[in-house]
Amino acid sequence: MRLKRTALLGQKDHGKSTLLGSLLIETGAASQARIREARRASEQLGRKFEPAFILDSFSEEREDAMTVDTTRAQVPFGNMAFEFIDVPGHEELMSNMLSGASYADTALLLVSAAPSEGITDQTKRHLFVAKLLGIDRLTVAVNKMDVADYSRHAFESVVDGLSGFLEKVGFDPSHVRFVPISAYNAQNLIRSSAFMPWYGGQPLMQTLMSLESSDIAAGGGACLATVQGYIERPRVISGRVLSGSVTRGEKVLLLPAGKQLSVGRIWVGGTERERTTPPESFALELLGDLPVNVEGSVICDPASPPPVGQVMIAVAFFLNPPTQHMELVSMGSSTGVKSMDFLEAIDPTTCNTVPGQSAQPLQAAIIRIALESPRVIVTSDEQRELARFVLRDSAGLVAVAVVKDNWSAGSSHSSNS
Amino acid sequence: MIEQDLNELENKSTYIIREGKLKFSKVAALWSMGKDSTTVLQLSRKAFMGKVPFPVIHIDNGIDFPETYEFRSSLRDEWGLELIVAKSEIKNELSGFSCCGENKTKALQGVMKEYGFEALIVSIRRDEHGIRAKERYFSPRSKEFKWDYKNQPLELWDNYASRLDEEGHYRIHPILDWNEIDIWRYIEREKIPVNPLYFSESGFRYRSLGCTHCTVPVQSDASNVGEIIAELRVSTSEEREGREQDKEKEYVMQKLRSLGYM
Ligand SMILES: Nc1nc2c(ncn2[C@@H]2O[C@H](COP(=O)(O)OP(=O)(O)O)[C@@H](O)[C@H]2O)c(=O)[nH]1
Repeated sequence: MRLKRTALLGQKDHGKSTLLGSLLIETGAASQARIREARRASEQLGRKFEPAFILDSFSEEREDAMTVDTTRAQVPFGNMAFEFIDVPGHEELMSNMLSGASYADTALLLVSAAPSEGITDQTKRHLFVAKLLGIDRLTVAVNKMDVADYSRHAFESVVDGLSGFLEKVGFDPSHVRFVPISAYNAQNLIRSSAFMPWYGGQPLMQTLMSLESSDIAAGGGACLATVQGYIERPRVISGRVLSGSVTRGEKVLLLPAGKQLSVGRIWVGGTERERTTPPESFALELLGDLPVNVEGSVICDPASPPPVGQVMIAVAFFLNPPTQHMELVSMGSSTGVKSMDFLEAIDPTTCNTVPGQSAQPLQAAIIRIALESPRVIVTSDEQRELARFVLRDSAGLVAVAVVKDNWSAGSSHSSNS
Repeated sequence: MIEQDLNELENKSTYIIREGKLKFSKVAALWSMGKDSTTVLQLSRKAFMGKVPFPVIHIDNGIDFPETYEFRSSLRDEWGLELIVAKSEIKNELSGFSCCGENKTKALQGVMKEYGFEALIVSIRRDEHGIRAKERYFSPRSKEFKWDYKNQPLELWDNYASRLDEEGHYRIHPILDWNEIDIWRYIEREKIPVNPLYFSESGFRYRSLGCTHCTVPVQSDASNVGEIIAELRVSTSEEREGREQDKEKEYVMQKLRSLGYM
């Protein structure tokens, strides 16, 4: 069974953990022992029953009532299984949110309909980042409908308040669904709610099931594979196929070195194979004049090689201020950053460009990066996985970014072997 | 219990094991002779052309079951494993925190230092305990083996952290995504040898293995891998219910983790 990995997004306290707890109870995935333990923990803290405690997280998270780090829960439903990744809704913990969401195929955003809550900057920032990370199918659960009298009006005001922004961020309205729920009272989660007869759509889980994630485009396209390194010198390398396939006996081009090589034997899961396809991890023999270092290289079809260059334009979301000594990391391999220029700063809560020559943490920007050595540069439209990267320095993560537009000045087309 | 696609899991796990071996110059795997760490050895063989390409460490407090010791030598010979036995000393207290935590940690620290390992492959799974949901695939430990779970490096996509501060080391978790039932399904598919203690003997079997002092058997008639899988398909209880440690308070578990207990 394939797990559908779904990131839970939204402002802290809008009910992400409660929703997960309720889903685990409603679908029967939580054992009785877990439910008892959660009940006891709620009592010990002198609280009403908190379904969120089913998640069995660190005690300090319970006491602070916040998700410190990502939490995961698997929920079986019909003939599918969902893995929900609960990411922190705290501003300071934005980096953990990124980490959790980077493993998701789709996202579920919670927005509280409670009178004093509603859409916040954090809600919008999460949406901006989710889109940047490549998530383009979205379900918006309008939560706490119980404290909004289960009213159609409360639901619609969230829908109206968010629709314009969603489009601005780049979500296709036909890939976005809105569902009114009460996570605490388990309303409209897996069964239609009697309290909301005005809502004509499907309950939450059915809605999630109906939104197919977009990224299973495996199989098509030209051959592209990444290389981890030599697992047996002098010629067995390992890596992963991103698109197309790699077949025994065929000619391939190794980038950025620009070497024409041919493929010898191929192994997948320890078994010899004629070819390997996405998303397989492979080991294979390369025949020809191999470079000493292959880590971070890309294998491609010599007839349609992706561009190789040292300058790129990207949209970046910053967690920390950029520093002098940064490196770009993508598909597990790093390249030094020679320089970085700000072309435009973007406010992720409005998607508008703002004046200023730098980006503050939690701000976005369009940047131009010059690298110390060449690498394959593709945009997210061409190959999503190769297009995304992180910038880090010795202290840790600086930004996550996606190549948006190829920049040809100074780049060469990899045939200088 | 959710059953995942074994090929997909295998692909991801072999990728992580290779990444670990390629990014660090000295790597070892912890091997308890249990089902999880033995599965990781099989994955490592598959990732590296049929042979486990790094030493395997058993932290031996001398009170494991006889079956476990027998299993250790037979698989070592069959798979040509480079086995390092780290003798752990047992002090007075014979259960839980200090037994599993302190003693074993000390023994492991000794071996790590002696051989200069930079990274350890550890066979934990997220579904074992809520706290493990917070582990990364590559998770740093300080020199004192502490796990600073609130301050972990980020893991985005396949970009696992691989830089060490001074004298710490990395824990590499290749089967973090697997569920208990996936392990058994994989053992069945790959015909991986298993410690006989997992199979029912007069109505009881071990569901997870520690040493003779902390491990409690569970009621079960499952006497082979197929029967264990069938049992798990209908079971609602949790795997570690048979272990002494879990009866202690949750914060103890948290302590054990941050002290570097596996
Ligand atoms: N009335 C009501 N309260 C809710 C609902 N969902 C969550 N809450 C409460 O909102 C608070 C924050 O919820 P929590 O799940 O911790 O939010 P998170 O920070 O997004 O994970 C808790 O006290 C919940 O009991 C709901 O549907 N109705």
